[in-house]
Amino acid sequence: MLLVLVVDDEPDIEVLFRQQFRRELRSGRFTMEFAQSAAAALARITDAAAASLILILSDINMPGMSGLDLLPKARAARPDVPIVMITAYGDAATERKALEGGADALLTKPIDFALLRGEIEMRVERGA
Amino acid sequence: MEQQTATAEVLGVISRSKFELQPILQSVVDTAMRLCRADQAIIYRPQSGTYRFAAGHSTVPEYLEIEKQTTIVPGHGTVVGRAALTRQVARVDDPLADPLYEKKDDARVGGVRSMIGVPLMRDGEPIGVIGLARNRVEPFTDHEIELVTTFADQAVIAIENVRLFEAEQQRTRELTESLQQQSATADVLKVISRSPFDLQTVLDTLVESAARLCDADSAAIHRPDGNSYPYVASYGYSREYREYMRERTMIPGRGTVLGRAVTECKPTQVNDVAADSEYTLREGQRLGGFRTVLGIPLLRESAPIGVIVLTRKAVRPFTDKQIELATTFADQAAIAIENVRLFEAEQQRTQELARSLEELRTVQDRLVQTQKLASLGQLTAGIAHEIKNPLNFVNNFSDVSVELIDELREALADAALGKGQTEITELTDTLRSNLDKIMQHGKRADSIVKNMLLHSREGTGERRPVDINGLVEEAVNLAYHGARAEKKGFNITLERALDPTAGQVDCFPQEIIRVLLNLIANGFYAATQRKGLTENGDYEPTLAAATRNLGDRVEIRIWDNGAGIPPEVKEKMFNPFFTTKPAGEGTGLGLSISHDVIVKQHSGIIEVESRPGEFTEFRIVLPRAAATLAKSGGTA
Repeated sequence: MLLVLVVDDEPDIEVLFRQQFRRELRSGRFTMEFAQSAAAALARITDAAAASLILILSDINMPGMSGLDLLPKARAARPDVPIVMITAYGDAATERKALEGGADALLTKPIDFALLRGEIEMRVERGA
Repeated sequence: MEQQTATAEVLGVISRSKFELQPILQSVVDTAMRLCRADQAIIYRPQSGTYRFAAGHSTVPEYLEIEKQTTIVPGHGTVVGRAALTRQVARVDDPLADPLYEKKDDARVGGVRSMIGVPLMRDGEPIGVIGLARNRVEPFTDHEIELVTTFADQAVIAIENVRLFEAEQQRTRELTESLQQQSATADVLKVISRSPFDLQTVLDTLVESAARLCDADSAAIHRPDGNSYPYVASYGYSREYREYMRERTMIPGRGTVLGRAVTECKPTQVNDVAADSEYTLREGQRLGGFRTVLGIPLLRESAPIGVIVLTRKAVRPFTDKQIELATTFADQAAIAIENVRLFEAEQQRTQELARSLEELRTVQDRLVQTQKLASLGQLTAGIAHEIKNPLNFVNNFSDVSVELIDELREALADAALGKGQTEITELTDTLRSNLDKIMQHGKRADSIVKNMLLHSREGTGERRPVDINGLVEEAVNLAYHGARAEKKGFNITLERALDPTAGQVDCFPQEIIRVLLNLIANGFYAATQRKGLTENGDYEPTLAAATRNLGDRVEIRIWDNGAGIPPEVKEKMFNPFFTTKPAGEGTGLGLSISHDVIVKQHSGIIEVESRPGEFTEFRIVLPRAAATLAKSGGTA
């Protein structure tokens, strides 16, 4: 089963994502897992069971380790898995930092779910 | 007896005309001639080493006329010369028989023979000689000589009296003069001390006192003004002359006495300007009617700061004493002028200090204001961010809930629910409509937050001098293309009236552009709105941007022929969050922020003029050093 990992300190993100992607999840095109901190996400990434991981979506602004801190560590652990960063700050400096850190793409909040759906579908097809 | 009477007569004359020498001398010669039975008696007085006729009496009047022309040198050649030389009585009994006597021919013509000469002695020095002569050889007796000596003594006394009297008179005159001068000087000083900074009064007093005390007919004080030295105070001149002089340029140089005094930096007198070949102020001289002119420079640190000119209608040069006196007036005038200059300089410095203090206070106030605004901006940014996250959830959840409701309705439509069907449909419809409302208001809140962030987060950007026309042009183009991208079919006529001399303003260009974009966008909105309301196809939406150079400030005007602003709206339009646009179309922050940017950040002015249904015009005035005045690094 293909896995998408979502990293955000907001617990309601899981509820929102599960509702938004309810059809895909129901049909079993991919599964989603949620981590509420960068540390938890890193543990999950290095887990052998995460072999089917096809995409990491990560918030930038998080207490403790930020999304930008996570980025190089996740890249080191799983260089094959693309990472898309999500931020509330759509400014040029953040975007540059994210892309320099090895992010595949940068999405801004409020999340455009149609756009995100496209990003996921693209990778699901590649991973299938 | 006769002698005594005669002596008394002479003494009588002396006492009668104590201070007039001529009658006394005349009386002495008359009496001496009569008592000594002489044919002539003459008193000679010394004049530059020789002796000349002073008074005389003769039986042959022609002879007196000759004697009046005669110069007698002390020496043995004449009896008078001998008396003057020897300082003793000289006698010639018969000139033709006297080997030393030189004027034998004159003696022959005049017919004079026996003669005596008696010196008038004072302190051992001859102050004259009295000579007596007879037209016959009859030597004067000792008694007669004694008598003449007595007369000589009396003449000496009389001469001495008159000399003393005249010296006394002279001294009195001098004292009177110096008293006059002193009191005049005191008057002038009084005026100076009474009104030290009323220069005109001081100069008027000085010029009048100078003219009167130096016995001038008129006087004027001239002061430099550019290349010329026009008069600033005058006394005694005719209106014609003053009018003529007001028009004429007085320059340094040989052409005028004033010009010479300025050039030479010392008192300059021309005894008769009418006879001076270099003098060029002919018409002035004709109108002024003066001949003798004295010019005295007013000097400050050896440089002329004016001239006092004294004139006389007659050719009568000013004496050294008068020139000296006029110089003291010139000095006083120079001091008075200098005092006023120092006072004014002092006043100006005080004013400048007061002004810079005031400016400092204004800058401080603005700094405080800007700092307040800056922290307000940071606060706004922080709050906006905090609100943004939950707001995203509201929007996202309501978005997905709309989908879910739709799915629910589909699911319910397939289920057989019997009687409850209608009620359930109604409820799901209401839920759906509520979710729409939540989405709509969520988007509205999101737009407000976005605007707040836009105005706070980006900060003010850099501060630099910018070309105001370029800025306006850029704003108009940006707004136009923005509006066209946003709304299909949008069009408007753009007019520009940019003053080519508008120049630069030291400001925060990003902020000014933001304000202009806001005003222009409002103009577009108003024009579009009016077009929507007008059925008449003639209406042509127009927006005009104009600039104007106001010297140390510059004006920007944004005009549109849109719907206009009703008075009740005008009152509140700069208040934060006030808007007339439908929900979601405006945040109500645009004009409020524009106002802060122009007034608080750039110490400028923003005003609006509008006629509903006709036009609206915003007028911005920015000081050239707008950003310097505000001294701002903060955010608006």
